[in-house]
Amino acid sequence: MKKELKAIIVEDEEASRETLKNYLAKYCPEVQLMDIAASVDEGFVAIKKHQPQIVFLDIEMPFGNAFDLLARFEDIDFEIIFVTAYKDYAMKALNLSAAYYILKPIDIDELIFAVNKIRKHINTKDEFLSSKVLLQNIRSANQADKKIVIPQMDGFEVIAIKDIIKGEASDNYTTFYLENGSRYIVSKTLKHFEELLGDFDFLRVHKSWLINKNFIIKYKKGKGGEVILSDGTTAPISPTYKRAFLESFKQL
Amino acid sequence: MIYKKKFLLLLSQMNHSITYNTFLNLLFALVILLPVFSFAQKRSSYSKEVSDYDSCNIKLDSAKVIFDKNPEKALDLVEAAILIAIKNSYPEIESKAYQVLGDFNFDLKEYDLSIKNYENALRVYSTSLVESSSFSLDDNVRSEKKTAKYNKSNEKQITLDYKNLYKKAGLSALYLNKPEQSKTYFIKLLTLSASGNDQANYFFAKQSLADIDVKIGQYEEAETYYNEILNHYTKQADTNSIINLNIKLGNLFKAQNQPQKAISYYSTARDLALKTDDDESVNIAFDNISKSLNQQRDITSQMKVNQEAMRFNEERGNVKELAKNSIDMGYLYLETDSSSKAIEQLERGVVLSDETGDIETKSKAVKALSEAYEKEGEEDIALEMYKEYIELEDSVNKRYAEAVEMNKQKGRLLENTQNKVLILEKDKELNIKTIELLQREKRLKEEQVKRQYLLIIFLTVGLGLLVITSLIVYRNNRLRRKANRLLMLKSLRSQMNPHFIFNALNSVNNYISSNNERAANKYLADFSNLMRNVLENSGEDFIPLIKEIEILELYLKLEHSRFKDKFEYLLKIDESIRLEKFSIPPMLIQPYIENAIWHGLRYKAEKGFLEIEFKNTDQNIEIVISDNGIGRKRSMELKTENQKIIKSTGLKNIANRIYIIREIYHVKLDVIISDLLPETGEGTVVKLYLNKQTFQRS
Repeated sequence: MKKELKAIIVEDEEASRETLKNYLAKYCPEVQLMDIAASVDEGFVAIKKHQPQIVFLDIEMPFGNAFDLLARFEDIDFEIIFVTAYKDYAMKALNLSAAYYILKPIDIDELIFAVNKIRKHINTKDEFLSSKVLLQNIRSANQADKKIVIPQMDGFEVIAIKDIIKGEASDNYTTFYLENGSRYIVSKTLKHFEELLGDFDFLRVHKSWLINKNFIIKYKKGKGGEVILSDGTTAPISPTYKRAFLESFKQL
Repeated sequence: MIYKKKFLLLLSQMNHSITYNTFLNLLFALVILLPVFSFAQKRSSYSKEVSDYDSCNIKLDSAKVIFDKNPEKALDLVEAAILIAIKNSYPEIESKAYQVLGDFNFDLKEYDLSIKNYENALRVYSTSLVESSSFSLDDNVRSEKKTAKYNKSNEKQITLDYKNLYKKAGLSALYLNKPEQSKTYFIKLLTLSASGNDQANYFFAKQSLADIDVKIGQYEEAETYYNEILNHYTKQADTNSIINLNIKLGNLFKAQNQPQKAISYYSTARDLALKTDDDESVNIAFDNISKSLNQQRDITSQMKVNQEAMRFNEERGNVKELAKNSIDMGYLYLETDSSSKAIEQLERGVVLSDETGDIETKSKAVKALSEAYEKEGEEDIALEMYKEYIELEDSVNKRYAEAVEMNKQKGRLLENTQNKVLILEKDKELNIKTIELLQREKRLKEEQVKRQYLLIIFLTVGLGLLVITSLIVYRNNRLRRKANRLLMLKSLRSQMNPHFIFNALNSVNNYISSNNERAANKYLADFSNLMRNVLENSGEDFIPLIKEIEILELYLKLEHSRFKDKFEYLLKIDESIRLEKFSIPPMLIQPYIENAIWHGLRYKAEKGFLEIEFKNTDQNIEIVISDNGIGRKRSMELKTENQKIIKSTGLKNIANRIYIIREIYHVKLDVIISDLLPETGEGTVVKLYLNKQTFQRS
């Protein structure tokens, strides 16, 4: 196979560097490993020098973490596969921009899958999209300016979070209704988005409904009650969520 | 007392110590002192009573003695006695005082007043007797004393007093010419004497009743009585009384205008009296025989009897009586118009009465002489005599008036006393009312005290319950808190940092990726060994020290194999420590080592050094973890903004754990963290001081 994908590893631990290097050599022949960096500083220099398509990036390192490294770039024109031992705080940011990550100890299948996905995006409209959105989100101090990347059949769609009116669940899919009337169906559960968008004024009011508080124009009392949103649609509030719903308004 | 102490202790635990303490002490003092006070009061009144009582008796007795000579002083004494008696409520004294007053009046012939006093005496007596025997108005001590007095020595005295009172009152009424009233007294005396087998008083009462019957004209009853009494005295051979009764029977028939029968009784009396040398009775008999004969207009016999009497008196030398006989004789001669003989007798009477100084009799004689001289025609002498008679009469009247005046004086004094007594009586009534009021007040107070006692008891019980409840609640809270802490401790303890586990597994992955089968296998075995040890001991609060050291050795080995280029290590254990003797909470030291590697040594450019030392001192086992890494300050500085989002929870957890362990297990455990090189802030030294005594294996 032709070595078409230039790659760099940024990882502080020697054992991990070795492991990743070995597995890439063995199972991802299309990847051409250009360099291995042991810190953020080394990584920045290596990326500038080699202009890789893929960067394998450890999230936690001494002397600065993965986000410190990304913040150094004006614009990003490489794909990132995050490598981490912990599913922690960084995950939300990664998921928002639909970035790829693999967990340590490295699962070889996951590694292959991630590399394959990225290879498909190269030279398409979605090239580096995820990385770019991630950087933007890191940079924007205002929560309202942040964006979400949602995978579609034909690739990624980037949506401003503030444009989403509501999300509706149907089985393992979620349908988003936007302010401009468009709608997107995503093959992720509503719960996944509830976690992601919880920090952006989104409220779960019903088993099937996640709504953006900023679009509520009326609340109708009832057993649970219902809300009327600015697009004229209504969403029921189930008794289970009623209290949390009312509580969140008290805080306003 | 112990209970009280405990109680106070509990109270002070509740932080109300000062106010409750004083309050309670006051309550206890009150409870103890109340009965003591009331008892003392009773005692003092008791002893005072005795002396007052005796002094009253003495006062009354001396009053009786000195009344004749010094009535003023006597009355003062009676007054004083009554005052004390009324004040202290001695009815017996009061009654006695009235009796004394009655006697005084009786002596002065103020029978109206004497009856009143006797009545008062009787009234006080009867009410006091009822009082003492049936119920007590006052407190128990006093009434007990009173009844005791009545029951023993005074019972006889009381009946005696009663009889005396009835007798005197009866006589007073008789002299006042109130026979009906008199009768009631004597009937009482009669019944009282009959039941007491007191013959003297019994027959006295009977005789008096007979006398009254004579007075009110019930002659038949009187005669029966007299005969009955006479019968009795005849049996007794009481000559004096027989004489007396014969005279009385004579009087009875004389009053019935049966002079013949009367004379026979009088004669019997006279004859008996002559035998017993009872001159007075002889004279009374002679006099009455004479008077009875006079009723019959039998002057001759009368003169004969008179002469007999004269002869008797001449013999006996009864000058006074002889004078009277002579005058009587003179009168009889006057009646028979033998004036000269009359004059002779009358002159003799004058001479004899002059001898005895009996002006009254002399006056009578002089008056008759005047009459006799007039009949003789010697009117000058008659006039002379009449003048003398008038003079004599004047002096008699004067003497009489003097006596009356003296009596009146005494009477006034008595009246004065009587009035004072009246006022005292009224005072007494008032006093009784006041006493009743005081007693009612006392009872109210007692009830109040009782209520206060109850209140105190209720309060004490209530407080006790409150304290107990609070203690139970407090204890439950403590237990719950302890349980919570234990739970928290469980959640905090022996958590091997998940990072370590993933990193360890990552290392295995590394050996696999480089096809180093032996290394992978070795590493996996060590790791498994460590995990097994950790898991096995994770359920324990304390594990043997030797076990903890084993775990540390494994951990150090695994970490070192990952960071071979970063540090070397040394584990030093003082051989004098008897490792098997102590136990410590599991995973107590590991977090400090992890910290030393991850935040100290890992950042160091050159190879660092980690030393763990177990030292043995007198008191403690000292565990020293020292590294020459970059130091705590530098480590913080190196963290970027993005890295600071993650907070290190390892050290915080261990601090919490140590705090809770100390609280629950009461062990002495101190941790001191310092820089290895204070000048540069490089390196870190953690010292754990484990008190040997508290960490000994149980």
